[in-house]
This record gives sequence, structure tokens and C-alpha cells, in this order.
Amino acid sequence: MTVKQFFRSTAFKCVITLLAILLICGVFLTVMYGFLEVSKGEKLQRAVSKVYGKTTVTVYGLDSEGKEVEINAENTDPKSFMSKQAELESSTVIDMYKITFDDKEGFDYLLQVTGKGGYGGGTVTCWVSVKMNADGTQIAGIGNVTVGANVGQSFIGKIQSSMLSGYGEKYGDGIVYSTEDGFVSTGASSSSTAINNAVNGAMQFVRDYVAGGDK
Amino acid sequence: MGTFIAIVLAAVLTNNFITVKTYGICPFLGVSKKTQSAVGMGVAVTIVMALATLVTYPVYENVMVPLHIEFLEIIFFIFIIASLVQMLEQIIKKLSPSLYNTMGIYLPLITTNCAVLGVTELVIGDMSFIAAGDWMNIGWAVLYALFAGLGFTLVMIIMSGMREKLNYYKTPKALAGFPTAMITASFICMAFMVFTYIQI
Amino acid sequence: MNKYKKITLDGLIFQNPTLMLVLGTCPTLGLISSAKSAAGMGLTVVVILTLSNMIISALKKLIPNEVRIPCYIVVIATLVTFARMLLEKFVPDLYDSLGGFLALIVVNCIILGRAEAFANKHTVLESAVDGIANGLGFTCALTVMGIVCEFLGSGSLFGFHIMSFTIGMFATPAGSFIIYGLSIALFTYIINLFERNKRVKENRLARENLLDKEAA
Repeated sequence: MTVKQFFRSTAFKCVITLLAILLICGVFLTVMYGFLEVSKGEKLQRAVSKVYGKTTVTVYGLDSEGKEVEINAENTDPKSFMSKQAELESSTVIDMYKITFDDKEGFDYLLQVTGKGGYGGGTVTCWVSVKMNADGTQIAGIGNVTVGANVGQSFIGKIQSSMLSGYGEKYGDGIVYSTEDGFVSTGASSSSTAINNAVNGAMQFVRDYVAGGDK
Repeated sequence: MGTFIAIVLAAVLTNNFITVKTYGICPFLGVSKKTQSAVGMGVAVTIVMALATLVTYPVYENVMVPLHIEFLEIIFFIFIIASLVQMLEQIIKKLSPSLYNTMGIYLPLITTNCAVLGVTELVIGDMSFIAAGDWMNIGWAVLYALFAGLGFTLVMIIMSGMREKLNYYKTPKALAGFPTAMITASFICMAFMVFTYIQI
Repeated sequence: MNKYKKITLDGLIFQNPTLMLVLGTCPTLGLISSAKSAAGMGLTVVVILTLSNMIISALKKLIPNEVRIPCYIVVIATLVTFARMLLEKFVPDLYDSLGGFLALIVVNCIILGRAEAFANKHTVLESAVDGIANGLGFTCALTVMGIVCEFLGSGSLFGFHIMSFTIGMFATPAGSFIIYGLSIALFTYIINLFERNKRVKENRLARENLLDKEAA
């Protein structure tokens, strides 16, 4: 085939069309991604507002020198208090941040924990807010718990909000939440076990952290 | 060893692609009328799943993540899968016509199969339900895809066995065809729910 | 006008992609345990299907016949990626509830099937109407099945708890299969009844016309 015949042949037209469509689509998506990207900082802000609702809070993480640094929505790579995930017996602690309030004293630790032992061997990831006392040496209670991503939990819709607020209402020193003590939602006992594991793991981790562990 | 057992149990039983995640339903309903075609389809799907993961996982981890173009994953993956299937079909046709007659004819149907794209998207995501920490690499990914395909084949064979037996019985006219197949599939799903209580 | 009515009725009822043609079964079975995610998936598919039909119909003269399937798949994949970005940014709850099935819209038989069977032979407007009709047929089927499944399985309706008595099976894939199978059976039965009545009426009219002609 001569060069001119090649440029007129079907094979060439096919390749050109395909490449043209790929190029246009790729450019379109890259441009759109610039506008529509959801950064890690924005995801954190969404989780925080889901846990704390309308209360104005400030979120703190740790920078590379170990000093507390404020995180706001523009921060695209927020650094939490943890450099890597912590493995506990029945849960995994993914991230920890410090939350201070505008209108009252004291602070919370907000942890993202994955509890194991859910339905079908799956997991449930929750955001747990652990209230601290004034000088930050002891846990004073549990705040809001919101349920986030879950793996294969068919009955996650049955988790009742009364169970989630019960963690804070029934808090006592040294408590370990379990389904036998009533921290369970009917019809979703395995998912409840996973959430209990997550909250217990959060409390355990904060106790170790405050006692001087270097995480 | 623990991870290996966890992957086998998860891919074949607790997170079976048909009965728990409902991914590869189109071939499941379409090709499971006879056991021979069911086995052929299952083997084809297994091979394509393993090959697809073998190619897409390194492309994602080593090319797309460093360049921050993860948002283009759907286009990349579907392109890779379509080209792989095309090449595989030509190779099998040339190398072994008998093998082509057994399972090669299902290969074009697998390009738009939820199970193949599903497993490639699954292994690049959050796999913490098997083991915690940073254990995932291409070996485990291909292994997961292989056993997911075997789980798919297992359920296809069970279904085809039941459907072949059902041919001998009269069904009401409204329930003939798809509705009977769906209700049969629902019983298989109920049976597989037993495995969701396995804790490792 | 008649041709648009035929396209709409075909897409919505007589050739309903979920209940008559049984296409796109993967997201159907995966998502009908919750009515909200079923409706969300349906609406997403309507938008993607309409846009993809319109684009493919507009490009039908430019794409050579040999590479049409890869080109269609690339166009659909772009639309799905764009939809995923939009949902993650503006409606994150729907994005979480759809899970992995959002990415699997690209291999949904309905979208590729309509592109192959309809969009590359008809004008842009007809393809748009066909896309909306098929998408709405899919959405309605999915939402109705989702409402039934969620009511029986979790006693709630779009998230609001109504009933305490639940049959747990319907929140799992086993229940989804049964509801889907029974819906297909019921829908086919109703359509067959309707068509038989129409045929009986037409035959009677034809017979009366013949008798009138003979009498006259």
C-alpha cells in the first residue's frame, strides 16, 4: 500500500477515531477533576460536621515536628495524630484528631475506627468522639458516634440511633460495651458487635495514648 | 498462610460474587441451562478475571497512583479488559480449536461482564475485611481474583444442575423461564448465607 | 408524534429493560434492598443513558463500523466517571449507598444495548426520547421492587421506620432474587392479559366490519 492509500484505509480511520475520542474524553475528565475533586481535608470536614452537627469546632492535627496544627477545609493533606494505623485486638484505629469548641472548655479526641466482627466477617468504620477532662489526662465520656463505611453489612440500616447515643448516656469509668449489656440493635447483632468493638477500641487507644504511648 | 485461607474463604464462600455480591448475574441466568456450557463459561470467566487483575493491578499501583490520575480508572480498566479478551480469543482460536469450542465462544460475552470489572475494582480498594494492615500485593490480588472466579464457577454448576432437573417438571405459564431461575437462585443464596457466620 | 409515543411506550412498558428484556440485572439485584439507593441508581442511569444515546447518535456518521463498540464503551465510561465525580462532590450520601455499582454502570447491558440497537440508527431527538423512556422504565421497576423489598426486609420506607415486623431474608440477595423473579412473572402476566384483550377487541371489530360489508 502506498502512503496515500494507508491514510485513506479503514484501519487508519479506525485508529484515528478511537484516539481522538480517547483524547477528548481524557481532557474533559481532567478538566472536570480540577473542579470537582474532593480533597482529604474536605472529607474530614464532612465527617466532622456529621458528628458535631451545627456546633462550631476547630480541628487539630499534628505536623511533622509533633506540634498541633489547625486543619481547615482548604488543607488538602491533613496530618492526623497518627503516622500509621494502629492494630488493636478487634479493631483498627485509622486516624485521630483533636477537636476544640468555640463555646466551651475542654476538648475531644475524634477517632476513625474500624470495628471487626461484623456480619459475614465484614467490618464497620465509625467516627467516635471521646470526651476528655480539663487537663486531658482522663476520658470523661463518649460523645457522638456516627457509622460510616461498612463492608457487606446487609442490616446496617437497622442500627438504631438510640443505640448510638447510648454510648454517651450510659458511659461509666472502665466500661466495655458489649451486646450482652444491651448495646445492640434488634436484627443487626453482628453489626452491633462491630460498632461496639470500634468504640471500645477507640477508648483503649486513647487511654494508651494519654498514658504515654508513642503512636 | 492465614491470609491465604482468609482469601480462599472470602472469595469462594463469604463474599461469593453471585450469591452475596450479586455481580456476575447476566451470564449466570443466561448460560446456566446446561452443565457443560456452565462449566465452560465459569472457566472462561475465571481465566479472564485472573488475567485482568494481573494487568490492571500493576497499572493502577505503579502508573495511575503516582501520576494522580486515579479518576481515569474506569476508562483504563475497561480498555485493558476489552483488549485482553480480544487477544485471548485470537490466541485460543489459533492454538487449540477444541478448547475454543468448549469455552472460547463465551469470551466476547465476558467483556461487558460485571464480575470482571467488579473484581478489578475490588482489589484496588479497601480489603481490610480479610486482614488488616498493608498486606495487599499483586500476588494476593491475582489469587483473590482466581478464587472469586472459582466461586463463580461453583455456583454456576450448582445452578445448572438444578435447572437441568427442573426441565422435567411442568411450571405455571407465568413463572416459566426467568422467574423460576430467579427463585432457584434465591434458594442457593439462602444456602450460602450459612457461610457468612464463618469468623476467621 | 405517533412515533415518539411508540418509542416512549416501548421503553416504559412493552419492552421494559428490567422486567421484559431482563437486562442490567446486576445493579437491580444488588440495590433493591433499599428503596433510596434503588431510586438513586435509576435516576443516575436515566441521565447517563440519555446523554450517551444523544452523543452516540450525534457521532454515528463519524465512527467507523469496525471500532464502534470500543468507541461506545469509551464514551459511556467517560459519562460514568463524570457522574461519579459529580455525585461524590454534591450528593455524598447517595455515592456511599451505591457503592461499587456506580462504576459498574459502564458495563450495564441496557446502556450498551440501546446504543447498539437504537442510537446508531436514529436521530438525536429520537435517541434522547428512547433514552429517557428506557431509563424511566428501569427506574420505576427498580423503585417499586425496592419499596417492596425494603418494606418486607427492614420495615421502613425510604429510611423511615414504619413497621417492627420484618422478614430478614428480604434484606439479603436471596430476597432480592425472589422479589425480582415474582415481579417479572407478574408484569409479564399483566402485559399478556392486556395484549390478549387488545387482540380480542381487534378481532371483534374486524369481524363486525366484515359482517357489515357483507350485509351492505
